[in-house]
Amino acid sequence: MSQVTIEKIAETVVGKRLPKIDARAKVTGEAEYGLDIHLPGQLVGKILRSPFQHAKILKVNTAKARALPGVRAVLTGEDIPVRYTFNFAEFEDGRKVPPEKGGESALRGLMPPPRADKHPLARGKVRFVGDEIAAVAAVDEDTAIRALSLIEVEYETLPAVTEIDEAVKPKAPLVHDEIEDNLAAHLHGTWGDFDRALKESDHVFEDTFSTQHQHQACMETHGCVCKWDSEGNLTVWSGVQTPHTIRLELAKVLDMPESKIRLISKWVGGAFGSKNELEPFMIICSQLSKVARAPVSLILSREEEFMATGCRHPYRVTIKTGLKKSGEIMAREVKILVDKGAYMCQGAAVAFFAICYPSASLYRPKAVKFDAKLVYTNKQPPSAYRGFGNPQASFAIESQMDMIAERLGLDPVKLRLLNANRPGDTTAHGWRMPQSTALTECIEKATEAIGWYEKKQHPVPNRGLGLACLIHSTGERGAYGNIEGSSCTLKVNDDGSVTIFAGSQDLGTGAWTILAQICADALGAKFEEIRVVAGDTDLPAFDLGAYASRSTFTGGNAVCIAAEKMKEDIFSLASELLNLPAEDLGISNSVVFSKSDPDIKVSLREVAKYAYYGAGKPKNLITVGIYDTPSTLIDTKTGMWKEPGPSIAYTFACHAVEVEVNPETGKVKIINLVAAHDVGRVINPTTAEGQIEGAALHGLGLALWEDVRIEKGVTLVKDFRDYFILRTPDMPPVKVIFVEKKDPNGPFGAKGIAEAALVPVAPAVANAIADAVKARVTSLPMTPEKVLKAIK
Amino acid sequence: MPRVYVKPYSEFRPDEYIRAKSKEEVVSLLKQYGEAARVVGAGITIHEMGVLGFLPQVKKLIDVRAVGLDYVAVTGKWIKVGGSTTVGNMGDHEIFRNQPIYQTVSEAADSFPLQVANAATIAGNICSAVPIVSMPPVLMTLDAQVVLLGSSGERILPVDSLYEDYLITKMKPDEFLTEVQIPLRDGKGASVYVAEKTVAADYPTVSLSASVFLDDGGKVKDCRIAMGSVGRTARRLPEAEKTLRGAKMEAQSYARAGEAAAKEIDPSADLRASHEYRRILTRYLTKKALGRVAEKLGVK
Amino acid sequence: MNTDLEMTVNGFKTILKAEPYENLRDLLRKSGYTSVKKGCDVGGCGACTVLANDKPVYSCCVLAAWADGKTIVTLEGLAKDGKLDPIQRTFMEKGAAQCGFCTPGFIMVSKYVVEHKPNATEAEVRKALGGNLCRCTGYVKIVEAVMAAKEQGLK
Ligand code: FES
Ligand code: FES
Repeated sequence: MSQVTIEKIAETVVGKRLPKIDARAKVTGEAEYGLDIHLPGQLVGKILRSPFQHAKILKVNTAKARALPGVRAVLTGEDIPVRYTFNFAEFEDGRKVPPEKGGESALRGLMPPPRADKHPLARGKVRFVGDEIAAVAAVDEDTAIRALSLIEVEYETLPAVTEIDEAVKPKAPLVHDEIEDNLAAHLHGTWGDFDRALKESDHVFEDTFSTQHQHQACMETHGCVCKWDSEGNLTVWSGVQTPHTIRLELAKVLDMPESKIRLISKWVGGAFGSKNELEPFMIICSQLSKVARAPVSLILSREEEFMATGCRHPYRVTIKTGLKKSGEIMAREVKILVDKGAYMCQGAAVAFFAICYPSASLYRPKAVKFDAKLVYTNKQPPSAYRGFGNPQASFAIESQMDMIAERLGLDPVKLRLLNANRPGDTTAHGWRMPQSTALTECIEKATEAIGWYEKKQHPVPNRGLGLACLIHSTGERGAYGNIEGSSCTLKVNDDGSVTIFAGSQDLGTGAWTILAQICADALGAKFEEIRVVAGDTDLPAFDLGAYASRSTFTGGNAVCIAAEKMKEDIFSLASELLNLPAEDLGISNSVVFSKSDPDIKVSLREVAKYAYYGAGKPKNLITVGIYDTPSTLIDTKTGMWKEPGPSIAYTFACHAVEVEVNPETGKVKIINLVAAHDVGRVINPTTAEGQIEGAALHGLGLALWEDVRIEKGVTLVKDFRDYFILRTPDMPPVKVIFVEKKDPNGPFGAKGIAEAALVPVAPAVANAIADAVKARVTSLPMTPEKVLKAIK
Repeated sequence: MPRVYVKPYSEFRPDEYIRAKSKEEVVSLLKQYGEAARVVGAGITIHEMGVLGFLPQVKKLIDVRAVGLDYVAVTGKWIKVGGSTTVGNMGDHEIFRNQPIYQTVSEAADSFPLQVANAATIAGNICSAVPIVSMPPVLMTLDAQVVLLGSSGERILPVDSLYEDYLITKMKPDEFLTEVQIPLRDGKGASVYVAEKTVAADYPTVSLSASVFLDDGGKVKDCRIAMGSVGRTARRLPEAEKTLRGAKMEAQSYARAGEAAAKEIDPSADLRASHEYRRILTRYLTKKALGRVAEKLGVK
Repeated sequence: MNTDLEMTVNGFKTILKAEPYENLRDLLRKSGYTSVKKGCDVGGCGACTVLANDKPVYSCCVLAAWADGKTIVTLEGLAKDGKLDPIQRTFMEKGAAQCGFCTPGFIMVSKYVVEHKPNATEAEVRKALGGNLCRCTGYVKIVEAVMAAKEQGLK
């Protein structure tokens, strides 16, 4: 771990609104997503899915499908004898491939060890409508679909549990025979002296809230292309968030060395958490390709996407808060009931995040008690979605804040300011809030920008204001192993241009552009002459992937480290060329100059030519930057963290919204949305704003409309016309405010931004609706029907 | 209980795309192939129903573009719109855009996503018999009729008696829609289209079109109200209309009409709304539509 | 039975073969115009938008045969001699493309708006873009890009 001193470096492109380095490929249509890849001899893969919520598989007869001309491979569960779950696999012969050392460490001590609960293709039972049963590869899509229809599956249907309340009843049908009570996981514990904190409270309030299945609904559905070579190397093309760790998981499941798998992930058509774990389609596709001995493309349809890829977990959250008369929060208890669907996926980690972040860390409760039960049901299994549990818990906490303010006759803004996290605070579970903490400023700026106090003085009928706050992470130690790091290789090419081989992944957020901007200033190179090569596990770089808003911070720091080393190499060569001591040299805009006499200079191109061809001995300009944040793992004995906790730079925000409610229809119109974020130094305002504006769409969707409706286990949403995503005319103006307080650990002072901004939106809207029509809606989405019911 | 389950695979696999050169050819092709043939414009409805598995029997697609049905003509007593006219072009015609009596057409056309309005034909919109599309109720309020051409010649049906049930019209297998006719009217009249939607560009949760004519005393002489998405077909609302005839254009009349409307519909529930909520929207939209008509008519 | 369809795609007269049931999107994609994206199964996301005789349509919702005799423009056809169309430039400059998957569809509608509705207000632009979904940008920078291209065009 090495710290980079950045104060001394001049910012020339950092902070600028530069177009993204891959924008041209995107506006010309050259960007090649998974579905655009077409290799010679490529076949089409398709998956047969269960039509039943819960059934025993008695027999699968594939003979007719195999006999269909054009069919090249047919697979059933018998062909892939492995079970797996997030980062853990178990073979039918009893071998277990556990998480890497420390793999689930952040969770250890709080919940049971991982248990593989999913077959890539079902064996024995199917557990939800959409569960994978069999798969085919054929010469074209038509033949593949026809082949699916020729597979005969004999089922014995079983009683299904599709609601959590039924599933927890004694004698309820079991989704997994070996799991009693359908209790997939149970996380519980306390941080701090909860009973005392509650006793010292003057008021205690308890309220319950619920949230829905929201879907990431990436514009590009999941899918991949797989190809094997004759030496047993597998290449996978797939737009994902986490190439290295998905490869790691795939290697476990396929029982082969990681290095024999190459995952190429250059273009990702949206992810939002949905593309950060190994999913069945990739395993299936790899095996189809192996059997067919040809490249196979397997792209999910929109219907499959909605019915079988992990959406947001629906939560029922009960929050109990104890406060002093002054409004100071003393104690918080959170009880969560999670509809886990049929398989675990990342459910436990998501619940853990919901507990650790908003529940334990938003504001300053002295003690926290938590109890989360994840309940299996015969439904599609949710998993990771932007916010990772934070939106559900924050909806509850921040709605309740307003309810409390109303009950106590307090001003909701002042109540929040009173309790706002401060720099240097330590939470009940041992996290240290960074020096860049600026929640107070965010609240002040957001309320000011929306005109909070003026508007409160001149209320307009049916209009209302609401606000809500946020805490989130910048990176998260413990998701995989005991690292929170990233690396890159930097190369100054023989023409003086620079290539960054980055481990970081870019989901369209602009992460690679950010790396180039950071590199330009950290190295003193021309921005236009920097290229980023990334999204490929064969590159000399490593990264855990793009999640938890970590790319700018960890990837950026890795680039800074590589650039520092590169400067040393450049200066030592330039000092030979210029006959000056290296200490006298500086570099900017790809020109090395003498600090004492700036007229003496040599271009980076000349230095590079000298390095590769002229120095008498080859001296390649290649350096490596490896960075790990000084964050900490949970202490499994105490269940607490040593400071600073899993993230080194927690981020904060406050959103304020103005709504107008139609009292006759209950329809909510969003008039304005203001989002104030403490993001540290903004490297590129355009891309940073883009993250918040895009998050607003997900947040408002969560608040108002989006819902993967599932009835008796059957997903009713089949296409975008059944899933109501706000359109251009529906979106309010979004005003983004950056509270730029440099973070001492971030590259140029930056913190993370991408993931979190959707979190405060839904509670802010709920609070605004309550303000407008004096009606509180406690369940999402707040459709016109629900709002109208609350009014009446 | 063991059950064998085979994924339904409904094949929408027409084997021939025939470009008809005349109306007569269309009719003879329809007669020849019967249920196995479908007339297509842009193919929007056909394609969608095909994807959804509704049309396994269709083998021949008959393209009618070359038979000359793309026009909007104002002649004598009628506005005549050829069946192949796109919804977008129809809405952009100045008579629908500028004359309050027919404006509901443009307002409805504007509610389509651009990409659909530019391809969807008026014939397709009518003949699909899907209750959520907007044009049939609009045409009902203008007393429009359709010209159907079949092997036994031409016949004319008012749009409001065209529908039998969900996805079913009274058209015979060998008939196709050649023209929509809207009677020209004078007098003090105006029409509007209103809809409640989940998000923009969605199909309406409920849509409503209204046309009102006033007598010299400012009372309602004649009116039509029709709705989409409130039952198995698009439909007129005779009871609501009845409450309005002879009434003044004022808030109480709108509320009365709204009540009657909410009573006479039989909406179903879906992902967009419950049937109860559709009644609430119906009340609301009736009031809203009549208010807007009154505005257009200059009623204070 | 395949039908021969004669159309002009991106300025070139072309004969493409299609099955009668095939939609235009799938035909264009398989003919190499992969900027035409597939975002949904039955229409509504706008990712497949192309210009047909100058007007935007969902290419997935129309039969391929419908394009017979028409002039089709896909995103591949916008840049001329390596020079980007103004709308492509403003999409780049304003940061309107995040993941980029919706971008081809949005640019095609926007191109129509810029050319045919140069005086459109922001509200009208928003309405015109209502048929396209973007999951990344919240539409803010897309609208900015269209407004900017319109202004440049009016100059
Ligand atoms: S792919 Fe055509 S509208 Fe979605
Ligand atoms: S940029 Fe990703 S969907 Fe629009």
